[in-house]
Amino acid sequence: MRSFKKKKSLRSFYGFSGCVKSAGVTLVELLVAMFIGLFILSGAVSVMVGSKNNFVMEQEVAFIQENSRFLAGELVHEIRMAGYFGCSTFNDLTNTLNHDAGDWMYASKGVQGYEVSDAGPSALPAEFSDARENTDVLIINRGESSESIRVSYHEVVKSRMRLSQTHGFNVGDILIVEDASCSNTSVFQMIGPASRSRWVEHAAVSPLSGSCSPARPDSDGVAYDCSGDIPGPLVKGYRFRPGSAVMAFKSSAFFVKNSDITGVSTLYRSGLERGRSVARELVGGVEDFQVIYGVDFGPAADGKIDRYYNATELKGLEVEYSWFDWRRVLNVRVTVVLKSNSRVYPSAHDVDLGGGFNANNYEYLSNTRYLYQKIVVTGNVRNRGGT
Amino acid sequence: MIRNLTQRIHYSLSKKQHGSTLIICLIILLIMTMLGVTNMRSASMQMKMASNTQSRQNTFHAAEFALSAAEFNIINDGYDPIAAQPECSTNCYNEKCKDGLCFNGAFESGAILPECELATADATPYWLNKNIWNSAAFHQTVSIPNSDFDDAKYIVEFMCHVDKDESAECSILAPLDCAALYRVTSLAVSEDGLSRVMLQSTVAVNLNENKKMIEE
Repeated sequence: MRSFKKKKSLRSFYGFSGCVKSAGVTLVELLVAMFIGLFILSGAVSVMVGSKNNFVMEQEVAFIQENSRFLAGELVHEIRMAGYFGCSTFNDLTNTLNHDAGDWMYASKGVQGYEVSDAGPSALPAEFSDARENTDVLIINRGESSESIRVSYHEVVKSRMRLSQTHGFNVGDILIVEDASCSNTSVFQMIGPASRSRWVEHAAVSPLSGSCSPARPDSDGVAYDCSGDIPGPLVKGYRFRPGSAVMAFKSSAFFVKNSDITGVSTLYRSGLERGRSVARELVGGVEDFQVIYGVDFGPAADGKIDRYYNATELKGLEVEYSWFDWRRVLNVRVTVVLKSNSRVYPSAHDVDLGGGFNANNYEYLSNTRYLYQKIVVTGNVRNRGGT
Repeated sequence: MIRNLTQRIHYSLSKKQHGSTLIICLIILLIMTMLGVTNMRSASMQMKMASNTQSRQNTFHAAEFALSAAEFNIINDGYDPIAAQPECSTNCYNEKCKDGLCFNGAFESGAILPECELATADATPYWLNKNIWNSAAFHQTVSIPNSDFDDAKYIVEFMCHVDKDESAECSILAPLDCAALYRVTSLAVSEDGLSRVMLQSTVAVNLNENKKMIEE
């Protein structure tokens, strides 16, 4: 109270002396005030810029971590289940689909792959032509067994099966039915009914028979060419027993291309929807995708991995050795490089990713402000007979 | 009068100057607080996600452990047709799944191999039956070494006979082309009970490989 009074009296003193203007703010006072103000402000602003950078960094780390966690889980699950077509490895698989032998989405090899720079006899399918140069394509075929539905009964004469619950399959979907005894499996296309129900109808001319692989109805859809094996034109087919399971045939092709939406390099999954392959975005910010395959090499299979090869080398081996095919792949190792959404570092610098997985680009990323992370996922292909 | 005016100007001016730095600083502080709070929330969310993922992974591996232990036992024990036939006395595969050994079908004593039929009823599969997992009499357990996990549980189903490999055609005429098929289902639950993993695999044992195939 007293100080206030004092101030006031001082001011009135200055005011009384007639020096009205300088009584408010002198130049020195103004400069000092401005200096102190600016000093405090610049401190606050620099702290804020720091904390904003921190924030961006944290967000980007979270983005990459989330992507890598999802991707690792998804890939390893797909690899483990690759080649699952019913509960016995040596059951009789009957493929009643009418497709071209080279169609990747209907293959029963379990695992296949391509290098995007590939050329030659088994060159890259046209679908992956816009994939990023020097990345890989990984293809997994399997039955979606965790979403299988039990068969209550199979009416062979009416070519339909009644399931134990209303199912979510659509007309045109490719389905697998495995027998309750694990001795027969068929791959077929659902042709009806169009509305949600418990029924699954299959073509009458493709008897879901048990003992030939692969087979396809001929052009008039009557005869059943199975290269010398049993089912003739009049065979009505195998009756799948109650307790058999119907599941979706799931094909996934993982490949990297620039996103149609954001333009960012993105991992796509091409999958079967109503019998056609449709590519959809899976994870954004995937810079590189490299796959190598652990192979049981040698004329006699011994269930042990001898070496890792890339897809091109495997194709070479396939041509060179008659005993060799993709079924010898026991293990798949995928290396993924993920990139942050925005520039994180204030200045450009070099990033060392450890190298050793791609001869072309990504051992060493120079002059970048983005954040990168490399993840390596290794999964055993479990459905290969061995343990 | 003039003095009054200048005084008023002076006051308001000085107030404005002091205040603006303060207010700007406060706004900056507010922004920083918001950034910080968002950061903290996202970090704690990340931590939750990571620890859930880890918990699930651990549970998966516990289930996997039980599965491979069961697979090993089946292969090691070899094939014994009596175990699923009515005259069996110990460690029998039975319809109720007692001791985690399940078999729902017909396999007559002294049947000519591979004459064995699974029941064709549209019944709930054994592994979806809660009682089997809840009651200790209907499953077997494996303790997971070096972990906090409860024992992982598993059941084994006898699934009659199938072809032993791609070229074989299992029949009464060629019983040695047959393999006995067992389906193993394992269940592991994490300590907090939040992640549960059930795994399933099938094991085929060739009929001529009787007991103790793997000696070492």
